[in-house]
Amino acid sequence: MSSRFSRLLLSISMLSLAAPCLAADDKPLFISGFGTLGLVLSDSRQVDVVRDLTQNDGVGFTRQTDFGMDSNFGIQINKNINDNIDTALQIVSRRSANNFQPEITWAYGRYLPSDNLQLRAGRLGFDVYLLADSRNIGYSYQWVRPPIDFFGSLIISYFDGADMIISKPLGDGVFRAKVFAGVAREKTFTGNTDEFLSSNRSRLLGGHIEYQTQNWIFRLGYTQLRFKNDFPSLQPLLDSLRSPYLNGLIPSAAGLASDLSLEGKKFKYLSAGIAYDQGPLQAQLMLNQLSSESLLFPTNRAAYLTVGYRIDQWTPYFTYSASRPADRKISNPLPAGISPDIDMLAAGFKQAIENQFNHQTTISLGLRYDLTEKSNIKLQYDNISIKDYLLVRNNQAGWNGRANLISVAYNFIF
Amino acid sequence: MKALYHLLLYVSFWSCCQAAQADLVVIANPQSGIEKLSKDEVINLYMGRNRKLATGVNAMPLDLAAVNAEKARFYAMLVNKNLPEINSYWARLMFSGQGSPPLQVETTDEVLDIVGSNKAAIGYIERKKLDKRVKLIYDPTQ
Repeated sequence: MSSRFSRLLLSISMLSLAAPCLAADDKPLFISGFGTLGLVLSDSRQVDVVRDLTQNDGVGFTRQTDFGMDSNFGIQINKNINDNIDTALQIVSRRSANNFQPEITWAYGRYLPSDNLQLRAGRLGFDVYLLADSRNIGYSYQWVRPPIDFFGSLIISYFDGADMIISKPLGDGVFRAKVFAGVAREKTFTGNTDEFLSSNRSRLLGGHIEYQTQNWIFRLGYTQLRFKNDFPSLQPLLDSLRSPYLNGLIPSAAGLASDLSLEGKKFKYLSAGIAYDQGPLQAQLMLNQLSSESLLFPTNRAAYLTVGYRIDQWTPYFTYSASRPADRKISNPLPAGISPDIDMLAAGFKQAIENQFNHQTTISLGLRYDLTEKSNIKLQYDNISIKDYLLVRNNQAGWNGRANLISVAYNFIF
Repeated sequence: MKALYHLLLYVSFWSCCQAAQADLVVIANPQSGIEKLSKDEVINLYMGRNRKLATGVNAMPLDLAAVNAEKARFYAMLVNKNLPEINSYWARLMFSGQGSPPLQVETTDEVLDIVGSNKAAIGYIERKKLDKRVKLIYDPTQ
């Protein structure tokens, strides 16, 4: 039995132990949950579109009709200890690197001594979305899924550590500052079948400042992740670059291997967002930049704009999202023409970097219909065009870089 | 053009109905220490942005179950949102660890009972239901 599964069992049994004690201290557990049943169809059989990099396969090549990409189920348990302290546990099953095996996405205690201060410790959500620190609750947002071009390349959704929020009324609104620190635990697929890039034990540090008024939210955020582990498929290339033979010919080769490797390298994530919410109208604009100290991961930038307008139970919405590499130039410090081996190595070096470029554009049109107080159904059309293959899987030779998706999702909370 | 027409229709619908919504008032316990709340303060308490009252105690905002027509009117008046939007707002906060929605009670009489006996409770009722047990702290017509 995997350790994660046994941990899950442990936490469930702890909760059931806790349950009978509750009547005595009169502080009930609040049990709630959420879920999505999603269906996606793709018009291209030459590529798999995935929701994010933790998914190894998706819709299109592996299956033309997919129930797994957006479907998920989560349970959340909250307990108040007293007026200022509460605890939460959240367990989610979705298609990720562990393929629907339930994961503990939160387990924290929170201390709220006043409206101006909040401290939390434990397993916490990594909140990069402007309006929530989870991207799994389909019921709560307009789209069938958060824009892939923007959120798909983020490989962290939770971490073990602590955070602090300070808030102060300012003018007509509230100013907030948040800092967090901890270690990442997740892993993600590399694009090669059954091969993972683990972010486990990588140190995460970041924060954001935010200003919220009745109708507007403005936020600026920064996060850095110091990578602990290397990219498995990079190992042969690193070994070759470090070989005594090559370093005899090109003394800079070993240094190149260290520049390329991920171990100990810092990844930096910058984001800025604006959300507007006035009665039936909702709009969001977000920008981000992901860069790293490793030669392997060049800087990519992404943005999305989404606008929705409610008419009774119906909310039509539109989203435009795009990601672009900041600079396509790859300097190749390995001189050409010394030997075919070295030329091959140079090509491998270039390819490894090119694989991390992210050039993708999506136009989405959708309609959300509020079915009951606790459920909705959404229909969405996505037109995706792709020049780099970072955010897709199983792209076949000759694919024209285009895919159209039709998605239907039923979302509920309880 | 049709969309614009719809938009106009809705704008006029909302402005016409502001008057009809004005018969709702926000109440607290006479011993709560609250004199008056501004609309922003009511929004902050009902939308979970603030939890504490000026007296330092945790506020206990009360909501009505959706079968009560007052609930939809209250949120339309307060933030111009319908109930599914209010629910998805709370789903976002609740499932991202930022708070939980106001306690829900079944009837206006329960609101009056709880507010009348609890210094931290606040609620909304129709103006004509005001009685001695509670104190008016926010009147949208003023």
